[in-house]
Amino acid sequence: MSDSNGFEDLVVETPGVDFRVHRSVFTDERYLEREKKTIFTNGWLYVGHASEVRNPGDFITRTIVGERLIMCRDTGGELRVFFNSCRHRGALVCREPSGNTARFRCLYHAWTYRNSGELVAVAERASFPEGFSLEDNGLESPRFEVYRDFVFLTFGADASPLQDYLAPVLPYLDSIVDQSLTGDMEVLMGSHLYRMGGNWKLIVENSLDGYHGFAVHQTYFKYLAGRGYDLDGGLEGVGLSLGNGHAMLRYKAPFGRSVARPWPAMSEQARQRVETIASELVDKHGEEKADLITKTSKNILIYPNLLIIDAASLQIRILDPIAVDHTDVSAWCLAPVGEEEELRQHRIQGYLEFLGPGGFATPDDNEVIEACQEGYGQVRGIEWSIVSKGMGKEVPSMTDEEQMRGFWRQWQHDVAGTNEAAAVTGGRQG
Amino acid sequence: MTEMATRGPALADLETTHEIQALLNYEAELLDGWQLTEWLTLLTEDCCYLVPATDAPDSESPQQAVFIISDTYAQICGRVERLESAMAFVERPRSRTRHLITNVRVHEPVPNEYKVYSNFAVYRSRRGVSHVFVGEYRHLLVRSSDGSLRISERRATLDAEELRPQGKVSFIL
Repeated sequence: MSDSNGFEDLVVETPGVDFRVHRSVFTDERYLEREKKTIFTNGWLYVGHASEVRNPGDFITRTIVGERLIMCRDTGGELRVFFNSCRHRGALVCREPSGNTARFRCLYHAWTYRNSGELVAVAERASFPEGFSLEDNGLESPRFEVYRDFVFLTFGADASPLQDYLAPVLPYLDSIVDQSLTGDMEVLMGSHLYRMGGNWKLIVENSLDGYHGFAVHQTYFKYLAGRGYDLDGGLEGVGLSLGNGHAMLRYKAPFGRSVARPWPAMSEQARQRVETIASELVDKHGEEKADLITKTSKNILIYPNLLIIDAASLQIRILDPIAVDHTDVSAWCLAPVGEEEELRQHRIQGYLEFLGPGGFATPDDNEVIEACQEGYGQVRGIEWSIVSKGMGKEVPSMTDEEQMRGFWRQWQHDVAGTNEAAAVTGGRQG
Repeated sequence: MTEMATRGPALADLETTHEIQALLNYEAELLDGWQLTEWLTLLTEDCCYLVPATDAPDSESPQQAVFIISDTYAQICGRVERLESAMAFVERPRSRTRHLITNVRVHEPVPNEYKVYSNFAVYRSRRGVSHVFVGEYRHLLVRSSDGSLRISERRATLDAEELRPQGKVSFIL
């Protein structure tokens, strides 16, 4: 192949028969560098939720594939995303994780910016040459767009509009936001900021893996059974490759859900409230859509690295690849604004019982990820991973692997793209 | 006013302070020895175990904010049962831990109830990697009818701004 760039044939599919992924994609730094230039440049990457900067002057800082960013609401109420770097010599202009400010002042030479980005003060300004202007030296913004309070950015110039990129997953993203009758959701105080010793794609797979549940998490399910949950129905559902790399598990599960399925320990009053919310959602959206919102558990991948886990609670999770074999995971609990106290309490309890670095399940997933990464070594042994479960089935179940294949097809397409800048936007794989 | 501003100096008597230090050291010994069922006997049956989120270390309301761990007594028992089983993979093989406790400060806001602050460094070694967890404990202790002290709340507030590189709190911190 004369035009080979070394990034083809890492994901190999024989339709209906075989699907395999070369394990070097988890271990070889060249592929992480390539991902950064393609997927993580041209894709839309989640920055944060607008509720995190609800009031004028509110800001948060965040790191996304090595870029330091500020998301804030300016004094006029407009949401902004900036590169957190002074135009002069590049120091961070904001060194706090969150807060409220009208101005960002660089510590190095005191260049000062409004929270809308304009440079308003430069010490000894007269000493700069003619032609230097404050107007030309405001904080730089990446391209960003907001969909129903979910804020995304792209570092590439050629990305299609956010809604086009999200199109195949939008009904499901809507079904998350519509847990709130007013469409007003909020990220709760208290973030889970942790690290896993594995490649980010292993965590994508694991987050979409319905096959491992009872093998890895039986202590969790045993705990639930001991707490009075009826687990007889088990997990039942489908794995879907949605297109553009987006994918999901869609299933019915025995977890309690604040919008549809009362927890065993809930008071009668709270049960009634859950029923009321469910019927109000039916009135507003109709039976079918309300069922998706209330009774259906969903593990959603918004390609490449945003996961929304709507199961025992509701979680936003992002995966930041800090090295080929280490990933920083940041996760937040999402809830309807104005949720009743007891429902909120159950939402948080359901969250902590499964999720996060102190939960009854996530830490075992961490172990799985690290066991895979360590098992690959430098891929001098077994070269290929098998991702063929459910191939050839008309409707792959949630314990099959079609949803992962959807991710992998898009990944292969993007890293193999001949033009780095056009890799993600140049075409779409189902 | 912050909790810190209202604490004041710890002025419990020497005998009580000694008794409480011995209890904290015994608790650490049980945890490092993975004698978790025995550890449960130190807790009251309404005990809670709290580890606040690293970006909200002062949070006092686990009903409204997300913690890393906010266990009721039933959840503590569930956690211990899980850790005792062979299927809690993240702790099989088990971590080797070493709880170091210093700067013990005993307050007695009401007679026979103690609010005890201490500093901790917990070393965790497993599969070739060692991590340290540094922070402050707050133990609420009550004297039960048999005269012994029991733990009615156990809060471990980490200094780290993120659980990086530690990754998880899968043992009893």
